[in-house]
Amino acid sequence: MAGAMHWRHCMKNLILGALLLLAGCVTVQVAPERWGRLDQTIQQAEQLGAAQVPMAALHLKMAREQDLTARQLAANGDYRSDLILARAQADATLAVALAHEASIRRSMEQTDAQLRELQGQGQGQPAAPTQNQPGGSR
Amino acid sequence: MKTATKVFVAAAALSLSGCYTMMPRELSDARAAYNRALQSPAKAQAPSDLYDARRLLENSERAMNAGEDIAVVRDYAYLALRKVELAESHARTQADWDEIIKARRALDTLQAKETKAAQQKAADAQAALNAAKERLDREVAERDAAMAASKESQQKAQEQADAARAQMEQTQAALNDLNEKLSALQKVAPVKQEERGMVITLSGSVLFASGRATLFPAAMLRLDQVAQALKTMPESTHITVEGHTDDVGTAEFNQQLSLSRAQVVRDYIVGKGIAPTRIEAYGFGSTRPLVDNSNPENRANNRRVEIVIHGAPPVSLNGATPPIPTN
Repeated sequence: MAGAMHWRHCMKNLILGALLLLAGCVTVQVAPERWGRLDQTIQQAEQLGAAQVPMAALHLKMAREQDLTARQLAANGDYRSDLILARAQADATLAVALAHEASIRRSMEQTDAQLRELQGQGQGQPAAPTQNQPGGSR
Repeated sequence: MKTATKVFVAAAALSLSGCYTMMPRELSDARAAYNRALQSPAKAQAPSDLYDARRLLENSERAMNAGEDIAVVRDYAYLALRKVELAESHARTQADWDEIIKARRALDTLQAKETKAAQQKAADAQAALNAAKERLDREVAERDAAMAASKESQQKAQEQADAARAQMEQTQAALNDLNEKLSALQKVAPVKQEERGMVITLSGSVLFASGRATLFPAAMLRLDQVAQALKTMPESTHITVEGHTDDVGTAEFNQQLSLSRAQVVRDYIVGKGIAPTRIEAYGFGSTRPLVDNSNPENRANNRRVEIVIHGAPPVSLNGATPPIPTN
């Protein structure tokens, strides 16, 4: 009788453990460092002034939205949470790149203007641009 | 069988059509973007991003071909598109960087050139300033020297003018004195200006007894006046006392008598203060008569003593003092 009780108790623990393990597997589909990396990338985009660059701001917004979606999916154990997180990360990374690109573009325009001004002073008249203006295709 | 074949073909066509329509727009857009990026600088500037994009496109296509959830196909296509866009952004950024570096090099070159030009300009300006300063210093020194020389010259000229004026005043005073004396002298003896000098003629009968060389007392008074006049003459003047007789008696006697009388007069005048080196006595006997000795009056005129003053200043013998030139 005691043996049967012990066996049933063990089975209960085993089943509980298995359930807990399954629950853990569902919530640990996405590695925690990936959420951290996404947060850092979003923060970096903000610091680079992505909000002031229209396309960068758009991708930053999409990154945030997909971040929320990925978290909800992860919480629900949806297997797509991984891909949605990857999409959020891709948008955040692109926002950083676009913000950085805009910053470099401004520096280039300033340097180019400075050069043209100096050339104009040297020739006594405004100088022609040294290159085509940045496309700004985005 | 024929019907079965038709059904199979139709099913296959429907299946293919289904597959074709199953390719999501995200995948076709990502593929087009990827192909476009391969033709752009992104291929060279961001090859790793494009490599990732290609892998993601393959994932998307694989998922689609495997009949996986269309959402997964879209997700991979989405990620591929983002990678392509990232590659393009990186390429543009790199191009901008290259342009910045190029512009900065040009800027550095221009600035270096401008700096050099400015330094050269400053050096030229400094050199011009130094040259101007040297020229100014030299001109100031020359002006100062000229002013000093002019001042010295003016001072010397002033001193000379003062000395000349003083001498002129002294001479004028002496002349005035001389004229006064001569005016007084003319009352006792005729004075005339001849080519040889100023001649004071004293009658022999007034000075000496006949045939003798001793002065009368009255003659001494006249000779005092003559001596006073002679003392006013400049030291440079030379005086000769010449004795003359008439033709009575022998020539030797007359010669001796005229010389003796001249010497007596000379000695008297020397005794009155005239330097002996300035005055000499000569006897001419009857050799230089003023008029012929045909009657007693003429002979009296020929008996005489003449005092000749050589180098005397011009004086007015009518009592007026002639002006001395101021220059």
